[in-house]
Formats: sequence, structure tokens, C-alpha cells
Amino acid sequence: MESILALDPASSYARIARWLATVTEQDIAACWAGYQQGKCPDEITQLVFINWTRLNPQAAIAAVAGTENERNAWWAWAANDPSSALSAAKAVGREQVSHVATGIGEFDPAWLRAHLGEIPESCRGDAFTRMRKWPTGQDPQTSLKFLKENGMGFDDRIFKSLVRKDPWAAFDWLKENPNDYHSFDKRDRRLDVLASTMAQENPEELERLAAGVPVGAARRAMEQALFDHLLETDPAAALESARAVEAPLVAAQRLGQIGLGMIATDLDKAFEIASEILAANPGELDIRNRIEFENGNMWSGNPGKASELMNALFEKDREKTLAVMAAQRAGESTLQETFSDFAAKWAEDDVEGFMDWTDQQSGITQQASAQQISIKLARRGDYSEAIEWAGRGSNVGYPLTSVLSQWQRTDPEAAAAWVESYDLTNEQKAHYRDFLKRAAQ
Amino acid sequence: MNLSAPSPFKSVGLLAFLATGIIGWQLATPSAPATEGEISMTSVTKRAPRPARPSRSAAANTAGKRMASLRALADPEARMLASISLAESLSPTEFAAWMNGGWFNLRGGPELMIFSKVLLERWLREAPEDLMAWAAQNNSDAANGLMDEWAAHEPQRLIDYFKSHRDDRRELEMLEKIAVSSPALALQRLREMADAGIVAIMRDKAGGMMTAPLMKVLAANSPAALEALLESMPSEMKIVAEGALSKLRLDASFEDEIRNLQGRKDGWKIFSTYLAYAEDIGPKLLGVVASFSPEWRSGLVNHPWGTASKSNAQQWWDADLEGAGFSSSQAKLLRIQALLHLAPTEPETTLERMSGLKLESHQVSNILSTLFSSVADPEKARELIAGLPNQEARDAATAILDRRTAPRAEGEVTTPADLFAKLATEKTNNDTYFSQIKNWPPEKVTALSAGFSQLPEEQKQQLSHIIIDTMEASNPPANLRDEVVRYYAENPTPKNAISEEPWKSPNAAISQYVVNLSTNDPLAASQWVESLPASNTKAWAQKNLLSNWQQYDPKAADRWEKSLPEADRAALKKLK
Repeated sequence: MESILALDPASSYARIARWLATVTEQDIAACWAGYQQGKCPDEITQLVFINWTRLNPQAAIAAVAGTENERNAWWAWAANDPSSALSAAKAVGREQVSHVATGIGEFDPAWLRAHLGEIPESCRGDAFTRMRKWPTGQDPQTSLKFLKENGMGFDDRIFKSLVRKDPWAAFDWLKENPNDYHSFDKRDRRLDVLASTMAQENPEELERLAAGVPVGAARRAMEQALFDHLLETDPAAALESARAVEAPLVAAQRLGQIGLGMIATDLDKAFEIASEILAANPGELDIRNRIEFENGNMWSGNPGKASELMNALFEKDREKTLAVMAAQRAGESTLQETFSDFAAKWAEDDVEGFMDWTDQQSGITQQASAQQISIKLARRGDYSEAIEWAGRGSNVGYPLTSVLSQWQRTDPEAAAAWVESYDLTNEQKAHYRDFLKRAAQ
Repeated sequence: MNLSAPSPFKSVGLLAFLATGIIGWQLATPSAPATEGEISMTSVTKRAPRPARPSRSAAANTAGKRMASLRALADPEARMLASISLAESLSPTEFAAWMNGGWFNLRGGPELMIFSKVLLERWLREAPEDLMAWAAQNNSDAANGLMDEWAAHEPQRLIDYFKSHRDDRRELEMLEKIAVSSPALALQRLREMADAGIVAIMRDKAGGMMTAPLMKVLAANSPAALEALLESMPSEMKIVAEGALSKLRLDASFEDEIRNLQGRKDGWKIFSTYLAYAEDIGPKLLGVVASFSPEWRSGLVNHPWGTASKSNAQQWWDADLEGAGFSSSQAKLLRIQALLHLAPTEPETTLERMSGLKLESHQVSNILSTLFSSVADPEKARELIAGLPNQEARDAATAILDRRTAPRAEGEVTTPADLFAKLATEKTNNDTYFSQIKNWPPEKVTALSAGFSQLPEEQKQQLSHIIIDTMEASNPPANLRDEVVRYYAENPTPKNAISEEPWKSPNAAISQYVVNLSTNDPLAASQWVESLPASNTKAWAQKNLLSNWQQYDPKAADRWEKSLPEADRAALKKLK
């Protein structure tokens, strides 16, 4: 025993477990007394009581009655003899029943399912919680059903063990137990668990499963997991596969994912991919739920991989990123929204630097950039300069009146003075005087 | 879905569409569309024969045999020893397969726990990197202690692990720990990560920059090294680092650092990172606002969370904000912020001051909401409401008070009738009752839709408003949701204006339902919307279905549009 007590308990679990499994009740009691001289990790305390209660549960409980370790003794007794432990605990009190219930949940889910009625309702939650601790060692389908029937919801680790045992049964389970939609984006995370586990461990079977699933969230989750796996194992094939996707926005997310992986190794290639994405998706980079109605619109959803790629490239080289975005619509009368978003970002970060870049641009690129500079300058209170920049925009009217209206709210006299002193036609002066007058009302 | 609803298949156009659609969607037969939240999978069992279960691997078979002999041991002591021996006999290359495969399947005793712990003990000792990778993949905390230990004592080894097992979020968390004892190493790795990807712009769930906690530790432990690297950092990361360094200086001398920041072009941006998390700095700010530039004044008004707080609201109310350079409209916004903090403790004074501010209706509503959510005594609240200057304000305050004093969800709902009665009388707590339904047996849940359809007309109308108004948050079961939305779409009444918020208008609510449904199963969504009677609501729902479907499958969506009856297409065209 001395040699056991001399071991570092934090790294000698197997040796102590083997010794405790072979010694007498008296040896265990003496060992426990020895451990009381120093700090005994929970794992070793649990081993002591697993073995002590196997040999003499009453003595084990008596040894720690009234101490914080009493819970370990009751819990451990449930591992060896749930029925006797529960009866004895009921005769003592609720706290003891709760300790036994946690043990039953952890060590014997089948007994728990068969004898649930014997456990007082107030202690069942303890058992349900603990039965999730060892998900791989149980009958996952039965456990999932049992948890659901008892209001304990879904356990993704138990579900994952079902996926590993029988993915088709796991998919059947999803069909028979529709999602409760408690995640804010309404995605069924359970599908992701199924798809990613299968993609890692059995991609061929996932392909077969996906082939039989109609278009929709389930198919998409499976295709995405297969793509993730392909990207990990064969990046060239993944690029080809991403390019072959028919829906431009879906292809954009796949290409974005590939591009993000290239930033460290081949930045030029990452920019090429960004160009490819922008060419196919001039207006919008993200897949979102968008609802339009008579007097407005709303959307929900997170930025996708295409947006992430643009942001990452912008961090690397903002001039090149904006140039790539501007090049997509060269010669057209408007630039895509994505350009404006990033121009605004640059203006916000470093408006002087962005002014320098804008001065070197021409046409619609310069005009769209000037508009963002004007907005930033107005926000920081440089109204007269903001108006100058607004005047360089393609659509002068609205940006100019927008600045003027902000100026009017902050410093109406200065706004009025600008109208009078600036080089405007009489007609323009009259127009802006009238505008300021109406804005003041 | 209510299958007794008017059939969409009466339309010749749709039949043509389905004929082509089946090719486009492979096995997507329309016979039993899924309702929202369900997985449409009828075709898997009907059309796609399941492959035979793959035969178990040789390793799994061997494991099965070993478990059979272990299970055959009658003596608990022998089983325990055999479990330990089994765990000791495996090669580290087998650990993951045993854990993932659930091959140790002996339950009804402590053997699985002991086997797993012996295995983990060996894994930690013999193949720790493999254990970390396994834990990451299985959402397990088995390697957390080891990671912490390496962060403190073997940081390079931990960094090397992440280089071969990329997990940016987890690595940032660990760098925060490494930075305590090895800031230079953490900083160097952070730069490498920033060069290699998106770590500089990654955000946490609350929208904060993922690098912020690490920068805080680096600033505290190695400010000079952090400062030396600022110029080479990507811009977003640089601002976060500057914010962390600036915070140290603000804590040391608020006024000096404010002066320093105001002299910089990016000063406000840096200061705003501090402002977002600073606590109770209102008095300090009041001492310096007179020196603020227009940009800083405007920034403060747009993000006023650092200004007035519970402890200094009166000071902000009394301050000469115009004298400090704020315009009257800016000063008003800052005073509103002060009133929001005064309202809970000084309701009478707040109401009195509100009248002098010329507030807009949303500002009134915001202050009243704070005020009447705080007044503990309902009688006193009623007295305060009576003293409000106009009926609009009195109505708004009464509604706030009613919501606050509405009965709490009590008791269980055990039948559809129970549920409908509770929802109708309480008008709140929908989510509490719907979450109880998750535990109902399936046949009782199924009965909900029939139960709803059999209610008297007036009750259906009332309930449809109540359920739809909170549908996004309260998660009613799919079949009830379907029945209620259908009723709502088919029975437009003036009362259908559920609330004044446009996104809760009937068109928006029904479109949202259809779009959510289409995300899961576009064919089911198209059938559902087709079965609605012709109306403006239907046209909006079709438009939104089309544009959302196009994101995932533009060809199929376009085919569907072309298959619509002429009248539907005309209505759709008008909205484009």
C-alpha cells in the first residue's frame, strides 16, 4: 500500500485502479485514510469508492457520512448495484437519492430507462444530465428517444455515436424528429453533425446518401461537408468542383473558402479567385434570407466565405482589393455595392490615405470613392470639405444635400453662409436656401 | 402541411413545371412535402435503395470479440481488471477508433469509465498531439488541461501543434495564455497567423474582435514589444492593439491620453475601442468633452454608452453641453441618455424633464419603456401614467405596464385546447408553452392543426395574430405554424395589421414563413404558396420565394417562375 500511496495520483490512474480492484475492504479503508493526509484528486476518490462500495457499501458510506465525500460513496454504489443503492438512499433523504440518480445515469442508462418511475421526479434531471457523459457506450437511438421523451432535448455527442454506428438510421432519426428551430439562423445543426462526421469517416457513403436527398437544407449540408473533405484531401479537385457549381452565390462561397486557404501561400492566386467571384456576383456576395415587402425589406444570415475572402484581401492589400472590385464594372455607369462597402471601410479607417488613392482614379471609380469620402468627412464634422468631395461624385444632388442637411443640424449659420459664399448659380443658391429652410422646420 | 388545403396540382402550368422540375431535382417527388423544420426525405426511402450496411472492419470485429470475452466474465473484479488490461494493451493508433466506434460497450457498471480513463491517461502520455486533435474533433474537454500546461511550460510545442492542426479561434485563446509567460512568442505567432489568414478580422459571437483579449494580455505583459510591432500589423489588428495600449495610458492619465489621441487621425477609432468596454467613465469624460473636435463630439453622440450612467446621470443632465461645443440636437441626444439612467430612480423628475426636450415619438417610447419597466409599485405607475401629457404617451405607457404585469406562464399545457386557451388569455409566454409541446407525444402534436382549424372564427383570428406576432422567437410546432399562417393568408381582415412595425405586416410575415420553408425544401415551399388564393400577399410571397430560391438554384427557380399561371406571373412582374 505504501508504494501506491507514494505514487503521484494525477498520473497513476491505471496502477491505482488495478491495485484497488484486487485488495480487501480493509486495504481500501486504510488507503482512503492514507489519502486523507494529502490532496486526493476526484478521479482517485471515485475509484476508491467504486471499489469500496463493490465490497461493502454500508461501510463505505459510514466512513464519509456527513462529509463532502458522502456523495461519491452513494454515486459509486449506484455503479455496482443501482437497485439497492436507490432503495437505501430513499430511506435516508433526497440528497442521497440525487447522488444515486447521478450514478445510475452515468453507469447504467439501460437500468435508468427501465426503472425511471422508481426515481423521484425531482432527481431525474440529475440522472438525465449524467447519462450524457459516456455517449459512445450506449444504445444511441434508444438514448436519444428516451431523452426526447423526457424533455431533455437533443444530445449531439450521442447523435454522433449513432451516425458512426449507422448513418442511415441517424438520418431516419432526423426525419422523424424535426428540428425545433431554436438556433437564431434556423439552421439544423444536427445535419452538420451528421454530414461532417460522415464526410470525415465515410465520405463514399455520404455521397450515396446525398444523392438520394432532394434539394434543400439537408442536401446542402451534405454537399458542403463533402466539399470540405475534398478541399482537405485534393485542393485541385475542390477548385474544379467549386467552379462547376451552377448557382453563382453557392460557387462564390466555395471559391471563397479556397481563396482563404491561399492567402498565406499564393496571394496572387487568392486575388484571381476574388476576381472570379466578383465577376459572377456583381451585386451581392452572401447567401441570406431576404424578404421584401411593400414598404421595406429585411434580411438575416451571416457573411459567407466570399465576404470573408474579400475582407482578408482588403486587410492584406486594400489598393489591390479595390482595384479588383473596380475592374469588374469598368466602363459601366455604376460600381457594384461591394466596391462601395469596401470604399466606405477604407474611408473610415484612413480617409486621407483613401483621398490619395481616389485622386489617382478616374471615372466611376473616382466618383464612387469620392462619395464615400464625403460621407466620412461629414461624419467627422468637416462639412465644407465633405461638400467638395460630394461634388466630385457621379450623383451630386443627393450626397450634397445630405451633407448640407447634417451641417444644418449642427451649425445652421455656417451651412447658410456656405450657400451664400460658394460659387453657385443663382438658381442653385435659391434651391439650397429653400432646402435649408425646409430642413429647419 | 395541411394536405386538405386547395391542391396546387389543378394548375396546368405547375404540372408542366413539375415535369421538368423532377429532372432538375433528381428525386424530389412532390408527393409529401415537408413542413417547415422537417427534412423532406420521402424519396430516400422510396426511391433510393439503401446500400447494404457496410460490413464491420476487421478492427471492429476484433474489438467485438475482445468485448464478448470481457462481457462473459461473471465476476465484477475480473471484469474491472480485464477492462484495465484491455486499455493497457491497445496501441495509441487504435485509441481514436475505440473511442469513436464505441467499441467498449459494456454498461451496467463502472468498466466504461475506468477503461476510458486509463486510455486517456495513456493518450496524454504517449500521443498527446493525437489526443488534442481527437478532442477538437469531438468537442471534448479531454485535452484542455494539457493545452493549459503546454501554454505555461511548453508554449512552442503547443504552437507547433496548431501549425499542423489549424484552429484559429482555439489557437487565439491559447495564445492569450501563452502571452502571460511568453509574450514575445505569442506576439510572433499572432503576426504569422495574421499573415496567413483572417485572424486579424475574426470576430467573436458578440461581434468583438477575437484578438482583443490577447492584445490586452500582451499590452499588460509586454507593451514595448507590442508597440514595436504596430506598424507592421494589418489595420484592424493594429487598432485593437492600439486600443489595448491606449487603455493602459488612459488608466494612468485620462486627460493626457485623450490629448494624445485627439492629435491622431485614428484617435477616435482607438478611443471607441476603449469606450465600448469602459465602466463608469462618465465623470472623466465630462472633464474633457470641451476639448473634443467635431469628429469626437459626433462620435460620442453616436455611441453614447460611455457617457451617462446610473451614478452620474445627474451630472450629465446638468452639464453645459452646448457650451462644450455640442450642437443642440447632439446635446439633446446626450440628455436623453442621462434621462434613461435617471428614469428608474427618479421617475417624476424624468417625466417632467421629458416635456422640455421636444422628443420624437421613438425617443418618448424608449424612455417610457425604461421608466415603466422599473417602477415597482403598479399603483404608483398608474398615477404616473395619468399625469402624462397626452393620450399617445398614456397608451404607450399602459401597454408597457400591461406587458410587465401580465400573468406569468403557470402550469402545464396538456391538450391543444389548454394551449389555445392559455395563449388567448395571456397573450404572452408563447415560448414557454410551445417548449412544453416538445415533450408531447407525436399524435397530440399532430392534433394541434386540426384543433386550430376547428376553433370558432373569432378565436382563430385572435390566435393567428398572437402566434404570428411572436412566431420567429417562440417556435410553435411546424404543423400548427403551417395551419395558422395559411389561415392568416386566406383570411385577410383589417385586423391583420398585427403591429405597426412593417416587418410584421401580413405580407412580410407570410413571406418570411415561405422563405424559411424554402430554405429547407423549396419544392414544398412552392407548393404551399401556390395553394394560397390569389392576393397581393401571395404575389409578395412568390416574389420572395423566387429571389431566395435563386440564390441556391437559379435554374430551378426560373423554371418554377415560368411554370406559374399567367395571372401569377403578371402579379409577380408588377412587384419586380
